This record gives sequence, C-alpha cells and structure tokens, in this order.
Amino acid sequence: MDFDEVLMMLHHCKWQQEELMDRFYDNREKLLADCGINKSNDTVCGFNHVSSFSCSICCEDYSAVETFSLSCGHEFCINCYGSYVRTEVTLGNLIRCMIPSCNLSIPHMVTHGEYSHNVLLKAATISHISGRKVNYKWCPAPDCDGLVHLLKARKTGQSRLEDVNEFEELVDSESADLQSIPIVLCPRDHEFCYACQYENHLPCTCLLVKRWIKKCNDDSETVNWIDANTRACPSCTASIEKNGGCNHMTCSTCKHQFCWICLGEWSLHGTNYFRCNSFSSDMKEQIGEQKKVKRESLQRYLHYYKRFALHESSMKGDIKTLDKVHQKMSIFMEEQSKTNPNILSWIDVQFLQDAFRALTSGRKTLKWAYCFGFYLQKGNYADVFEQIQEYLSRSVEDLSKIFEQIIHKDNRGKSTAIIMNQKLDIMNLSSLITKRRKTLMECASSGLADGLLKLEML
Amino acid sequence: MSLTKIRLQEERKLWRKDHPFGFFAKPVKTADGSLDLTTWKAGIPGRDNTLWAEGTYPVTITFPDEYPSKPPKVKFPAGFYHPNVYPSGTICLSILNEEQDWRPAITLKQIVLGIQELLGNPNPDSPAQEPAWRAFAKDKVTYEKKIKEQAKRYVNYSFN
Repeated sequence: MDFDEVLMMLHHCKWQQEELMDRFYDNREKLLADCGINKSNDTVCGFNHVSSFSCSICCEDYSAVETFSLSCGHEFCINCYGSYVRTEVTLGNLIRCMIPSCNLSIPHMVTHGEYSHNVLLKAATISHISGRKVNYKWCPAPDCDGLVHLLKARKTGQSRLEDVNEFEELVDSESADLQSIPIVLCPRDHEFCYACQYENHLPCTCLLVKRWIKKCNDDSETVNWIDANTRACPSCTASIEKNGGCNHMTCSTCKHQFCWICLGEWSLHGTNYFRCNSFSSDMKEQIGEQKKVKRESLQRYLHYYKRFALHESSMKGDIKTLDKVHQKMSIFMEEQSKTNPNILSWIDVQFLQDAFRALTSGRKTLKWAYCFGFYLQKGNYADVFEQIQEYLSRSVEDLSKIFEQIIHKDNRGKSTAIIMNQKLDIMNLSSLITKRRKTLMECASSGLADGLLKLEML
Repeated sequence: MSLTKIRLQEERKLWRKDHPFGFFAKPVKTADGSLDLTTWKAGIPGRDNTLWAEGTYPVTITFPDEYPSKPPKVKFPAGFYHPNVYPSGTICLSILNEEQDWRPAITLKQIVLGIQELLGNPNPDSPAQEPAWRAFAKDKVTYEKKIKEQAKRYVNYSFN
C-alpha cells in the first residue's frame, strides 16, 4: 500500500479509520475494488504524449495530444479529463474513470502534483465538515478561517453539548448557568461562543445577548422615546412634540385644536380657561407617573448602551494602536538583531503579546458586563458586581493609556524605550486585568447560581 | 467550434448510424431554420409486455455548456405520471445526476435506454412526485390503471 492508496481508502470510508481497518481485514479485495484501486493490472496509470489520437469524449481527432488514463487503460485527452475533474472535485467525492462501467478512481496525487495543494483533499474536507455541522464551527471573526472541532471531552465537564438540540435549548432557555456557556478558542486566538457563534460574551448568557442585540437593533427604544416626549393628537393620533410654552395646540396635520394638558377639545375650554386643572387630578398624576417611568427606563437603557457602544469602539481603537505598537516593535527588533544581537531577544518582548491579548479581552468583558448590568436587578450584590466592573475598567484604561503613549507623536523615536521602561507596569496591568476579569466572571456566575444576583427580563 | 458542439455532432452521427428500435431523437430547429444541437426532442417507447408498451413517450434533452463534463437535463412533459419524475417533468435518474453516476463517456443511446428501463422499473427510494409514488407503493391497482391511461395518450405520439 502506498500513501495515495491509503488516502483513497480513507476517503472512500469517509475518513473513519476504524471502519477502514474493519473492511480491510474483512474483505481486502472487495474494499480495494470499491475504492477503485487496481492492484492486479500492469497498465500504468498516468499521462502520455501520443500522436494521432481520437478522444471519445470530445470526439476530436488530434494529431498530437497529451492524454491520461488510469490503469484500466481508458484513455482520454487531457482537456476532457481536466474539465471532468474540475467539475467533480467540487463535490468532494472520489473521482472515477469517465467510462460508466469502470469503477477505478483517480489517485489524489494526480489531481494535483503536490500534496500541499491537494485540491481533492481540500474539497473532501469541506464536504466532510459541512456534513457534520454539529461538531465543527467556523470561527465567526472577520477574515478568520479558523475551524473549531468539538470533542466529546469538554472543559466544562457538566455540560453535555454534543447534541444539537441541547445547543439550541441552551440558547433559548433562561438558564443562567454561566459555567455551561461553551466559549472556545479558534486556532488564531479568537474566542467565541460555540452555542450562539457570537464573540465571547461572558458574563452574559446567550439569551441575554440575543435580547440585547435585538433591543439595540430594533427601534423599540425609538418608540419609547416618542412615547416619553410626544403626545398623540386626540383627533388624528399624529405624534406631536411641544416646542413652545402655550398649551393651546393646533395639530399641524389635521388642524384639530386641543389642550396639551388634558387633551380635551380647546373650544370647550372657551371662557373657563384652564378649567381642566380641577377635573380628575389623579388621572393626570397617573399619566405623569407613567411618563416618568418610561423616561427613566429610556435613560437607564441609554446609560448602559452608551457604555457598551463606547467599549466596542474603544476596542477597535485599541486594535489599531496595538497594530502600530506591534509594527514599531517588529522594526526595532529587526534592526537590533542586525546591530546588537545579544541584548534583546523575542522572548524578552513576549510580554507585549500577552498584554495585547489581556487588553482586548478585558474590553470585551467590560462591554458585555454593561449588557449584563442592564438586565441586572438592583441590590447589594449588584453593587458589588458594579464595583468589580469599575476596578476592571480602571486597569483596562490604564493599560490602554500606556499603549496610547507609546505611539503618541510626541514620543516619536522613544517608543521602544518607553516599552522597555514600562515593561513592569505593562506586565502588572495585564495580569491585573486577567485576574479582575476572572473575578468579575466568578462574581457573576456564582451570584447567579446562588440566587444573589437576579436578572430582569425586560 | 466548442467541445460541446463537436461532441454533440458526434452523438448525432452515432445515433444516425445506430439506434435502438422504436426510439427517435433529433435536435430542434431554431427560429431561423438551423439546428440547435443543445436541445433535442426524443421519443422513448415503452418496453414490450409491460404496462408502458403502447406508448412512445416524448422527452426534451437539454445539454449544458459544460457538457460532457456535466450531464444533460432530460424532461418529460410537465405532469408526467411516474414515481421518479418531478411535477415539472424532470427525471430523477442517477446517471443523469452530476453528483451521482454521471460520467462523460455516457452516450445518448445509454441515456434513452436508461430512461426506458426506469419507466417499467421505478426506484421507490427516490420519489419525485407524490401521486405516482404513493400509488406505486400502496395502491398497485390505481397505479396500473393510471399508467395504462397515460400509455393510451401517448400512442403514435410524434413531434411536429
């Protein structure tokens, strides 16, 4: 058995090693025939340059042409074989000879000379993955082609997440068990949630994320604002915002005249100007109260949303800054390795990478903590949570500031010196961020588990 | 001339030289009177001593630009009664499916013979329409009645 034949057999058995072994030892001849491997025939499979050839596929008579045939000897011109293979390869199956009664398969190697560009293998891999969507997920980060394969043994132990249904349940259920949220890491260091395929949204549950995103996207808040700041015309229900002091309103749409205070018809007010104050003062207070509640809820939402959005945009800014720092460092290291190879090695600046990672994930956690905070019921433990969030926020800002300084234009030429001087600070801050992130998560998760923190589904 | 055209001309030559008894197949004429080699009309006779025997069933064969790398599409008239024919008339047959058993070396003769074979031997595992499939699986009497009725409709059928 050579490498190519093993590859073909594995391909035929859908990459199930055990199945292949079973079938191989069970009935070797049959397996080989099923895979389209010819061991008995001596005809060599391969490319030939022939003169005066008539191809039975395109029916062209060639005076000189390159042909290909498998060991069955069915020979066709390279153009026909090429276009056949190009169509077939997208399906990801083994490619058989073009003669319908012939079962021989084209070895992987033939579809491309080098194994590094094995197109057939690539297509087969993709079709294999798309057939097993439950166990594989592509990384959702932009431009990332990382793939995550879910193994049975899971880090979080208690959760049995092999089943699709359970996944969906997890996204939909109001389960507040943060431990069971399957955060995974793609090969390029992007963290994401395997269940809802959103970025690492801890300390929020998948359901919370879904609601929050929906709330932020749809215009429910616009409606709230309209409700809090405008009144509907009692005649045509157009929304009216009062822009002057006078309570005698004339609707611009239907010309209806009414009193802003009691929404009654203005003509009734007539001579007894503002008689509406004496009539049912309870009602008015009630309406006022409702409006106040709505305003407050809008304010509250805006408070959390602003901070959520700010951290999101800061994260983008950070990434830009970090790119610049990274560039500067690379240039510096390159120059230095030429002039003075013994002073600084890559290992000495490894701490920068850790700091980058700590900063971005710290921001991410902060961002989602605001979403969490929005749904959190007020209480002593909620205050504790906010305090921890505050600490995390402080160290994230401190670290961000240091990086900002490094690339500040006043410090041109001194950036590497600053990095080295601040090395200790940077290292301390990144480990602090990591610790505080962990504390925040633990606070949220244990608080929810023990019922000390409660979520309000608005 | 494109590879598709050359191959189709060859198919036409082959068909003229030798084709199974009772079958006919020819490219359609375009508006200006020339032949459109990518669309063919063909007639498939039911096999003797079967329910289908009386009729000759019309199909339209459309060859894609990628032919012979990709298979042609073969259609009966819409609403054709057979378990493996879609309501649109498209035939569900493994040798006509790129993802299954299509090979570039399959000839027109093999295609039409394959369809003739399918008429009398439907494949219950790949249903393409509900009425014929249900009758075939559960109510043989109705099925046979419908097939015979259909065969009568296609007696002496020819394209003009």
